[in-house]
Formats: sequence, C-alpha cells, structure tokens
Amino acid sequence: MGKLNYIAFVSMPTIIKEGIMTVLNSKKFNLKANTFNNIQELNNYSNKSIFDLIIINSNITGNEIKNINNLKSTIPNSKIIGIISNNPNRDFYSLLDNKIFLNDNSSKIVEIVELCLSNENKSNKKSFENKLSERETDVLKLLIQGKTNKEIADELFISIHTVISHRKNITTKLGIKSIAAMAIYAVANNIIDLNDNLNLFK
Amino acid sequence: MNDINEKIAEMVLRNHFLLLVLERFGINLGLQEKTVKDICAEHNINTSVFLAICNLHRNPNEIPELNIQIEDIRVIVNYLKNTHEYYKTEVLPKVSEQIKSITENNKDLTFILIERFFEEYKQEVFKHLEYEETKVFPYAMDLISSNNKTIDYKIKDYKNHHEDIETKLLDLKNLLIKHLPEKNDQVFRRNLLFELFRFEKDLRIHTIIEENVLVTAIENLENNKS
Repeated sequence: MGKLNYIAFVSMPTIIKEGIMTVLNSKKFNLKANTFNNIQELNNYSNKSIFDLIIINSNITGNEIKNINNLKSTIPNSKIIGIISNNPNRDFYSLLDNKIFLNDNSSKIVEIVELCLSNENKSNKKSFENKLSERETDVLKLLIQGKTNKEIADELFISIHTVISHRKNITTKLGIKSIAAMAIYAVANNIIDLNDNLNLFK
Repeated sequence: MNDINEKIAEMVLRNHFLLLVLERFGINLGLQEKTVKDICAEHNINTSVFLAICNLHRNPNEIPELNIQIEDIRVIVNYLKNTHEYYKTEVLPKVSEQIKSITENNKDLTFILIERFFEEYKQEVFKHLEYEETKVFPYAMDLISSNNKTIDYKIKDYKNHHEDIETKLLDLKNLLIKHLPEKNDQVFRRNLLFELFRFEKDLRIHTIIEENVLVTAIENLENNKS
C-alpha cells in the first residue's frame, strides 16, 4: 500500500465519483475520499488542508470559480483536477492543475492522478523547511516598512512577479497573511531591530 | 439530525454551544420538557430555520438550503444582531482584557505588539459589524416591510464588502502557537487560544448564516421585486 492520500470530490455525480474511485482503487493507491456539494462547502471545511487532491466537476458556475481562487490561496499545496464534459469555462480551465475528460480511459485517469500526487509530495517536502530564505527575509523586511510590490522590486532588482511569488511563500511558510502580524513575527524572531524601526510601531 | 419533537434541554446537554443559539433567538433557560416545536411556536420562529442554525453548530460544513419566508428574515436579522451584541460586549472585550492582563505585569515587547495587533483587529471587526448594522440589516428590513423599497442599495454590494476578518484571527493564532519564542506564559497563551478558537468557530457559523442564508433570501426577494 502506498502513502494514504486524501481526495475531495466537489459537485460530482455519484456515478462519476464511484467510477474514478473504482479505477484508482484497482491500482496501488491508498485513498480516502470526501464529497462536497460545492466549493464553498469545501472552503468552510476546517480540515481542508488534509486534501492532496481536489476533483471538481466542470458544471460549476461563475461565482464558484471565484471560490476556487480562495481555496487555492488557503491550501496552495493541494492539486486541482477538473472533470471536463462539455463547454468548459475558460476561467475554470485556467485554474486547474490537470484535467480528466469524460472519455479518458482508466490508464489515462491513473496517470493523471499519479502525476498530481507525485507533484504534491515534492511540494510537501519543500514546505517542511519553514525557515524563510534570505531573499524572502529581505522582502519581509521591506513589506513591514510598508513598501509596495513595485518599490520592493526596484529596491531588490527583481521583477514584481518575483516579489509576489516571495510574498506567497512567506505566507505559506509562516501561516501569516497580514503585514501587521509579519511585523510581530519579525520582532519576535530578531529579524528586525526595533530600535531601527521604531517609527513602524508608533 | 435534530427533529422538531426533540426536547431542547436534551439538545443543549449534548451540545452546549446551543446555549448561545437560544440566547440569540431570545429563548430563556428554564426549558422544562419543551420540544423544538413548542419553543418555536412560543417565539414565532420557523422550526426549520431554528434546526438549521442548531445544526450548523454541530457541523459547520453542512450548509443549509432553506426556503426562507419573508417573516423568517426578521427573525434571522434579529438573531444576527444579537450575535453582534455578544461579540461587541462580551467576546472582544474579554480577549482585550486577557491580553492587557499580561502586558500590565510584563513589559514584553512582543506582547505589547500583540495587544496593539488585537486592538486594531477589534476596530476592524467593529467597523465590519457596524456596516452590517447600518446598511445590510436596515436594507433587509426595508425590503420585507414595504412594497417599494426606499433604501438605495443592492445586496451584491455587501458581497463585495465582506472582507475576510477571519484571516487576522488565523495570523494571531499562528503567532501564538508557532512563532512567539517559548516563555513562561503558557497558561496565558492557552487561555487566549481557547478563546480565539471558540470565537473563530462562532464567527465562521455567523458568516455562513449571513452569506448563505440571509444574502440568498434577500437576493430572491430582490429578484421577485424587480
């Protein structure tokens, strides 16, 4: 038996869910599945970070697509697969890590799931190293000073895109999103010297 | 799943969070042998609304799908107002007090920063609650009480406005659990965290009632009127 992986099925007809599970269970996978009626319900699920893989039916609507973005920001390590039947929505399509088409055969389905789970394992390993890199620490310091992405990019000679990606990593590693909380983190861990930054805490 | 013939006292014994639910519906203790049906009839509450909200406290992941009637909206708005009152007069001041009690005796810099972080957070929550109390709730009441609505507002504005006050709460929990260096403050941190976890759960349910029950009901009303 392989490592236990958790799958969330969202807005999925039972027959498709059972079909996919039957295909996967016939292989070496060791899976546990939960079902959710919609993305919102999964978003509200307190233990959602347990899911390695989220399989979503393509029948979801515009509003739900916004919720996928929320979901991705709170559980960035989970992979999202869409089940594509007909007329997939462009925005939905672009949010997916991979797709299963309704006419895919079982070996294709296994291949896609395997690919997603192996990626997942890699990124999981990375997230064990929760210490910030030197560059991330530089970005953190400037963020705390209230600098914008553009100002940080100019100061560190990197692109705005890179700044945004550092910011995402900081949030994932620390579990902290707000600048104010980052400042407390930085003081508590001696990343910034308060005497040099007194103006920040007036 | 609870049903309308169940005794309310039994339900509370199984899940004491329901004490808050009763209070917010204006139901006093001294429940005797009364069932859900009895109490709801006494207080003019739709039993399915009552049970759906009780059920959310058992499992916040089961989003209720309710067929809300006009008279239910008044009940739900009142419920939400009472919840706000509880946050404003009890939960948030209590957490403030807890944090102050440590900063008063201990001039630890990180806790002084935590205190400020929480005070700012509290102001944000107050602002958010006030927005709902001055815009959303009056709009809902206006919509159900008159044939021609007088307040120029659309509920979709609320959806855009509803910023995530849960994020900073999570930040604070992570600071206390992971990032603040180990110190002789464990009991204090534990008490504070218990309070924060409890508030977080309550807030999550509160948000579901607002977004999935009230807003959906108002949207339906708007569509019927336009």
